[in-house]
Amino acid sequence: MIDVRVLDLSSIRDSLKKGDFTSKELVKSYIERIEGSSKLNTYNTTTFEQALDRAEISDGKIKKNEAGPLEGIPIGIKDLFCTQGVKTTASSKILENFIPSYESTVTENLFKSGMIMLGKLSNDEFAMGSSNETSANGAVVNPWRSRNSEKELVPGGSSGGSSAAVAASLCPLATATDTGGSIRQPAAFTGTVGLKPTYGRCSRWGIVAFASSLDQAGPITKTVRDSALALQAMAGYDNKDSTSANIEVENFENYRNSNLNGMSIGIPKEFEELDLSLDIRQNWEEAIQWYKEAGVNIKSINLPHCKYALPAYYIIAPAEASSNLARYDGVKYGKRVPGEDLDSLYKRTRAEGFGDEVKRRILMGTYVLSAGYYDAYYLKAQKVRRLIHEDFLEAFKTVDAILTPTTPTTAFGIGENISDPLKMYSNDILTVPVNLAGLPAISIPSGLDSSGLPMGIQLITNHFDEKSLFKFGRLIEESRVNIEMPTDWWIKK
Amino acid sequence: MTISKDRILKIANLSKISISEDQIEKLEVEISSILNWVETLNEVDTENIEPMSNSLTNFLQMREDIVNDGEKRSDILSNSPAEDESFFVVPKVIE
Amino acid sequence: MSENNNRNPRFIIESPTGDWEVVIGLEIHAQITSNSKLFSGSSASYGGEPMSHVSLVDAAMPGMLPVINKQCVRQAVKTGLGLQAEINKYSVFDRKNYFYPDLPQGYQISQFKHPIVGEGIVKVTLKDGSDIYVRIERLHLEQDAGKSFHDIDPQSTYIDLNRSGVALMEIVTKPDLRSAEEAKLFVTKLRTILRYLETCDGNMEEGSLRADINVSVRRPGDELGTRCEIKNVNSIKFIGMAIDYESKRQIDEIESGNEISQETRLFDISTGKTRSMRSKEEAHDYRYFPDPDLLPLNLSQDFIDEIVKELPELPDDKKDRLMEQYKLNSYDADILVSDKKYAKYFEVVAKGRDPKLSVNWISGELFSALNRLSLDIDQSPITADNLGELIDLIIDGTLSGRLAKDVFEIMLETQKSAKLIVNEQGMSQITDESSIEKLVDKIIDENSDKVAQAKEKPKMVGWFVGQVIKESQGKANPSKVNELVLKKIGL
Repeated sequence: MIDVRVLDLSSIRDSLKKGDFTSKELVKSYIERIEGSSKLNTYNTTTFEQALDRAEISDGKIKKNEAGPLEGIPIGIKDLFCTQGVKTTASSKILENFIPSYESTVTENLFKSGMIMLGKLSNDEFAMGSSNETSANGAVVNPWRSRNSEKELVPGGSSGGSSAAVAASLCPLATATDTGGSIRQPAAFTGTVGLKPTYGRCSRWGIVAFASSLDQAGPITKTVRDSALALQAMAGYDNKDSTSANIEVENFENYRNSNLNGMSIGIPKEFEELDLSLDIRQNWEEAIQWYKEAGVNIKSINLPHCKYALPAYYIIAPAEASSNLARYDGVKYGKRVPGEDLDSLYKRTRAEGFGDEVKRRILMGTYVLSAGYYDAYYLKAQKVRRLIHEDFLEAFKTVDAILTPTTPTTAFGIGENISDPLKMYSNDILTVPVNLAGLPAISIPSGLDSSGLPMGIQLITNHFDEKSLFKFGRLIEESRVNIEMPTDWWIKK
Repeated sequence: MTISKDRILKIANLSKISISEDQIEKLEVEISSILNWVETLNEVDTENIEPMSNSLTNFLQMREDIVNDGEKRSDILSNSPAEDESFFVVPKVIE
Repeated sequence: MSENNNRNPRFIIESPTGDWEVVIGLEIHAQITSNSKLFSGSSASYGGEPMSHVSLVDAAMPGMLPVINKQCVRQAVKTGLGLQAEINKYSVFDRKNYFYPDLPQGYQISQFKHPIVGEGIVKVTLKDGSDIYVRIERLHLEQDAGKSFHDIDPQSTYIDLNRSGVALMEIVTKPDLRSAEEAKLFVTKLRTILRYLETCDGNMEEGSLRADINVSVRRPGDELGTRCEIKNVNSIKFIGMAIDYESKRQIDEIESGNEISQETRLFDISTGKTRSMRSKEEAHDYRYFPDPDLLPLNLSQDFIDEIVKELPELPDDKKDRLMEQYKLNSYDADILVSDKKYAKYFEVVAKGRDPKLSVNWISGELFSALNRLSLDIDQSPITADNLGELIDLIIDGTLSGRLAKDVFEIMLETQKSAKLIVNEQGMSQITDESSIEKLVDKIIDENSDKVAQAKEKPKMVGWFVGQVIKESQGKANPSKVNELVLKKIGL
């Protein structure tokens, strides 16, 4: 068996090309590791047999020099991406047996580039959550633990299955989606790299929708370089998505030949006033120092409306969700709980099919859109959204990137925040403004806190300037302390 | 701002989600606290600000009027919880 | 142009308690003529096996997204231009949220705050020849729902999604109509305009055109009364029946001392009555908001100009032109413009011929024949050219009116030209004096007793003329016969 813990996307790509191992050997190694890691509860569904068949085909292609750019490399897919013939549940009971007849554009792009799906990764139900505890399949366990502690921690959410799987080397790359931080926050909690591309960069076609104006697919990987490779394969214009940007996908891997000297980074004042843990605050300062040393100009900037981003988000996202989730009604597909009449069928199906957090958000969203409340809540939030957007556009007139922590704390314990929605929501305070403005952002592991848990730093750039994220992000990887991936405490022998 | 029990029941009905008596009280507390919190938005002066529903600033692209989809009945029906003669079936609707 | 409080109403309903006025506004749902649906590439054609014209988008599968059909946008703009309405270059699609099994998304994509077409106007000619102007408030694009069948199974409703997602235009009038008759004439006129534009086939049996009717009553001069909305009426006749019933019902309610409650009602075609569907208290809260899957629509001036170039001559303009060019009266012109195919047929017939005679033949013999045979004018066995030739034969005296009708019937059956029939069957009119004289002599000889009577009662002459023409098998020229009969009898 290959020790997949030491591998990442780019090293696998090189090894497969050189013939160090075959795709089939690689897939087998991941399968064995996944089978031993059931404790982490990362995969909702596995597709091992198909993966082995696909690996054989990939090996043939590699031999014949017909390989795609990521040929034969295994991948985990968040269970929000519809996969043809493979159960897609959004980690919800209401879709527990749903098998799409279609393939999402992003997964199709990845498969076309040669990647092989190992299975579907857990997430918060319908991507609503920040801890992966709202999944109908139960909580996902973070492979990281505090030093000298056996307490189980959350992997973040909603892409907690994706972040935990990459951190535990149960796949070298996982797809994820980010509506308010669902890629970056779990990446920060698990010592992985999480990229939320610009809204419109990756097609939303075939991804179970949460909040359509905010949802964006992106990768969780071990390194910045892998993130660039993955985005290359995922992104692209799709005429089936009216919000897909018709913008050329440049060669993201080119970022590596660039120099940061003379460029500028903004530090938002308002973020300094937030309630951040001491370790995270120090880590942020450290990162600023690294850039200074690299010749980057550090500028203090103002994003005056960002402190309102979280309440605006918790109006806009539930409003869109309340409408997006209306299609789960027990009529056409998915779970149906019979009722004596249509109304009771609807109400029972949705009461039993959705979990508490999803129901809370549907009710909240219905409320803020309902007659008499629309202007006070929804419309107000949309106006604040514009002000937040304008804050960023103003900032990018003077800086090339913005640097903040990804989360106010490191990973917390399973069960710790789940009963307090507001406390849970506050996890997203640093990530949500980016979604409202549609900007690209990346979370990169930047150190370990005093208890040995990973911290993430967030870089934000202007629309469609993902390349600069990689360019700036590389310095974090080069400057930080060495982050050893967690030991295999969970492996069942 | 607090939300009344009555209002909770109304939005639950609009959302087509049945909720039990004990859930109502819990939701009353939770949603009220969320509403109180989001009301910090009232601090922001939004006079003359256009609402923004999408960060993209371009406009809708239109497709040509070509029939290139449909005729996939088995795909449409394959996940159906109840069908007969290629129709979806639901309890009788009385208008 | 507000005439909401007009003290001289156009139409009143008399009652022992005083006069009533009915106020009507319409929301017309017109299915757009297009190949594919508004937001998906599946066929928009009517019918088909259940679930055959259904894409993953139409069935609202998870992750499916709408992409707008350019042709549907063009059709809406074209219709707006035909209604002399302002075209809004900037428009926005909203979601209208409600649960219904034939609404797969749980919302209908529609336009709420920013419709594609703004205010317009439609001229309607009433039976007495006067014109009224019905103001259009707006026109917007939206998706049609699927179809529910309540009669396949006693316990269940069956859902077919073939219609789900087909493009509709909702055309909303101001409350400018005052009687069932006006409403019917308005819908007829609107349908004619849509058919001229070819933006909607106007086929009410197939549901391509349906009306929601807002009806209220008031004392003339009063403010608007509380209205009831009658949903989804799908024939012009039923629109009239529903308004007549509903206005009487409301008057009865008020006269019995009750108040009208704002509600949605259904028109039951089996009873001819309307009945309550849901009250305002139970009314939907549709929670409209901009569809986040779609961006605003922004039309360029070029896009609109292209459509302006394609606009056909519309009924009002065509009527004016026909009256001017052919000196037709308003009544005849109205008949011809009621269907652009009639006008087209007429203009072929009337080319170089007497327009009045042409109209008479078309609206008389031709329409009654087509009606009898249940044929549309473009399926007519008699082409416009052939009808024109028949009229030529009347004008040049070859055929009498009577003979022409016989030839017309043969043309209908054989599709042969009038000249061919006349030649084959020797049907031309007898005009030479000697032949007619022989016939007149024969009849006078056979009826010498009646000659004496005729001398006293000159009206008897007509009888002789008739007998002569009959003897000639209709071929004798009536005026020549008349002349000779008078001469022979000695009057």
